[in-house]
Amino acid sequence: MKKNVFAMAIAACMAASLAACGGADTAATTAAQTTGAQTTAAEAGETASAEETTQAEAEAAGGVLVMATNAEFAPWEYYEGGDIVGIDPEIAQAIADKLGMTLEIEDMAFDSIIPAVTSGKADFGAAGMTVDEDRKVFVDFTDTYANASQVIIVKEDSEIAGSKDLSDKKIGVQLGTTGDLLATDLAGDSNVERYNKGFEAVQALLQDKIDAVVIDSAPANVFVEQNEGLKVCSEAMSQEEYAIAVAKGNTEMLDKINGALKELKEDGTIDAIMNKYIPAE
Amino acid sequence: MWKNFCDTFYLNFIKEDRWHYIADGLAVTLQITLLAAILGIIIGLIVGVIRTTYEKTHKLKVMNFFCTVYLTVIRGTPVVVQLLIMYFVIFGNSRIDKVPVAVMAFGINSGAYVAEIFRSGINSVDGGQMEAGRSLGFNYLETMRYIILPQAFKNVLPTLCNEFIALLKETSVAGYIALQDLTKGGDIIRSRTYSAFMPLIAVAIIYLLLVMILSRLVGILERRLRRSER
Amino acid sequence: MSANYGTPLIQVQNLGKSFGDLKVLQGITVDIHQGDVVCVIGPSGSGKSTFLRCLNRLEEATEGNIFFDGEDIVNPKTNIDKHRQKMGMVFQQFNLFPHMTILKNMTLAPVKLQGESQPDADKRAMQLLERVGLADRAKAYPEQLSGGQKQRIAIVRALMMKPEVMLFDEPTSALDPEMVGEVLAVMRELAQERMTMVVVTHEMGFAREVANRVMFMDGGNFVEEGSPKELFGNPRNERLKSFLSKVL
Repeated sequence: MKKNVFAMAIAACMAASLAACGGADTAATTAAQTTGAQTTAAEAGETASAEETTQAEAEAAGGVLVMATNAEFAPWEYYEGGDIVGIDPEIAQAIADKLGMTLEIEDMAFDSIIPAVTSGKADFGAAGMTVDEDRKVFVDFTDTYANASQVIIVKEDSEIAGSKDLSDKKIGVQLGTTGDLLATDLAGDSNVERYNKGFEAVQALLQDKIDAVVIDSAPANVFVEQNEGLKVCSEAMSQEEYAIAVAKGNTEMLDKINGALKELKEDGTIDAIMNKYIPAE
Repeated sequence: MWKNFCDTFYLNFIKEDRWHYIADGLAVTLQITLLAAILGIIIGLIVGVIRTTYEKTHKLKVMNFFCTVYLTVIRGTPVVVQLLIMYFVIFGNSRIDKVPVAVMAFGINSGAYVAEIFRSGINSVDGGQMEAGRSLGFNYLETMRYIILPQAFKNVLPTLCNEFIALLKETSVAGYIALQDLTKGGDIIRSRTYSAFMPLIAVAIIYLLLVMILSRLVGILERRLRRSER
Repeated sequence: MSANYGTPLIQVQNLGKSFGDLKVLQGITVDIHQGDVVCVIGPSGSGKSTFLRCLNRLEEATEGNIFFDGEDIVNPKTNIDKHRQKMGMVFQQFNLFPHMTILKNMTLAPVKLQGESQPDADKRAMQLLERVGLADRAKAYPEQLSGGQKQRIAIVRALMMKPEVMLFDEPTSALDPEMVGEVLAVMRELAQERMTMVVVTHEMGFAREVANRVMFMDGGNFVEEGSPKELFGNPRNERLKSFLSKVL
């Protein structure tokens, strides 16, 4: 008997998580998937019914807008308690409000964001993502909403002063970021250590496993603030602009977001959000 | 369709010599797996012998205690966490080549499973063998070495090989410490080309081929062993 | 009582053995002299095998002393491995090493433990195999042999160590009846060569014919012992009488 209860509990958990996947899926969720989730939900009983209700409510109110991000990139997006907060989530929320939709945020590896958008798993990607030509082959970018640059983080006593000193150094980056591409060009493939998370690269730097980290300026400042003994080199290695990525050819979504962005810029919402997270010095 | 396939293939593997990520990654994966397997056998042998010695003679109590702790901790935590601890905590403040770190993490992990395999192998050898060895004047360790372990090893060889097949697949988390193994090689291509299909399928096929080759070898080995048992 | 005099080869004094609360052996005192062929008989569960296994410490005695070559082998400080080299043991289940050829089974211990060269050991092994009529099986593996052949190999494997005493633990009990004779023949030959032997057996015919002493064990101690003639011809103990009436 005990065994049975355990088995049922597991079945219920699995069904619930399946249903949750279904719920989190985009408007593009296929009929088959939905049916699948519901069938399992029925088996799991009450556990999943709550999930279904939220989904139903959301759809009645204009649909769900799914945002793909990588919530390890303070101040742009990061976890605070159980919630993902930061500049991008707030802007996305403002956009969703304008469109009368419910925002759902999916946290994933940075290098998974574009595949998630192109495959329809997410409606758009907002992750402090730099507009660049390579990415433009796969996704369309909205109007830009922020400026950024790549910078070098080093230990305070480091001799590295700028990108010219990086050629034979071990450089830590987050896999798939513009920092990764820049560092690979500068120091060569074998000198670049590609961590899954930006903070892991910083951790490796703190432990002297690598000589420098190349990363976006805003998170760089946060890392340096939070960790003793680090500094940011003054040189900006690039000038970049952040934008939101949507699936190639999804002009409807692109126009909607651009429209909302335009309004948000004009009424000062974007500036307010920026100032909240990156106070002017 | 074909054109499209060729284009993505070109983009993912040919352009900028991206296939190097896969090839170099494969070399790293094989290197880690082989060395970790050797380390695992050494650890597993020692721990397995200590455990069975304690079970049969109630000697080595302290060592058995540490072995039990080792087995519990290693088998009770995910290998990726062990790997991260090895890299960021145990070798915290040192610049160390990451391959040895991974070999140690995976070898220590595998050793726990190999130890239990050896333990069951030693237990599967008839008790009379130990008595026969001892009655000839061999001490415990000599009897283990000349008489028990060769038989135990033969009994567990297929299981042992399966453990190393599992190990090969487990090394795919080596990328967590920024080691560029086969999986990470595919990830790097993915981060450059933003296409999921080609790199992931290529990586999967290579793992699959490796596992199939190894399984085939285990099959041949098993048949050989059965044939020699007349 | 013994046919021999002088210092006994094995002196057992007040030997006791318990498994937890269960007393298997108690108060055994016996001397075994050079050249003795001692057959231990008795009902199953009486402690015969345990007694034999205490002699080379395969079982640890819980009480008493056993002196072998003047040294107390019950003492944990005694290097038992050294003494075991001089005490050959033959088991009911043969316990040949299945992963080695017959020749290797026989030469492993002399080569590894006594530093004998492999060719010398091989030569002696072949001589012994000739004697027991199994020279043609030298390169075979144990699985390829019959039970009787295996037990003969087990005996010569023990003899390779040139032991001072041979311990036999029901050597024919696991054999098919038609193979018992070939094993007993080898043991008989050994006895004729004045090898000291302690044999736990159910073969009363062998005991009567080959032993110079027969000891009847019951309830963890020897209740009667004597020459085969006395013991089989004129048993005094009631339990011995009832045992003999069942087995003869």
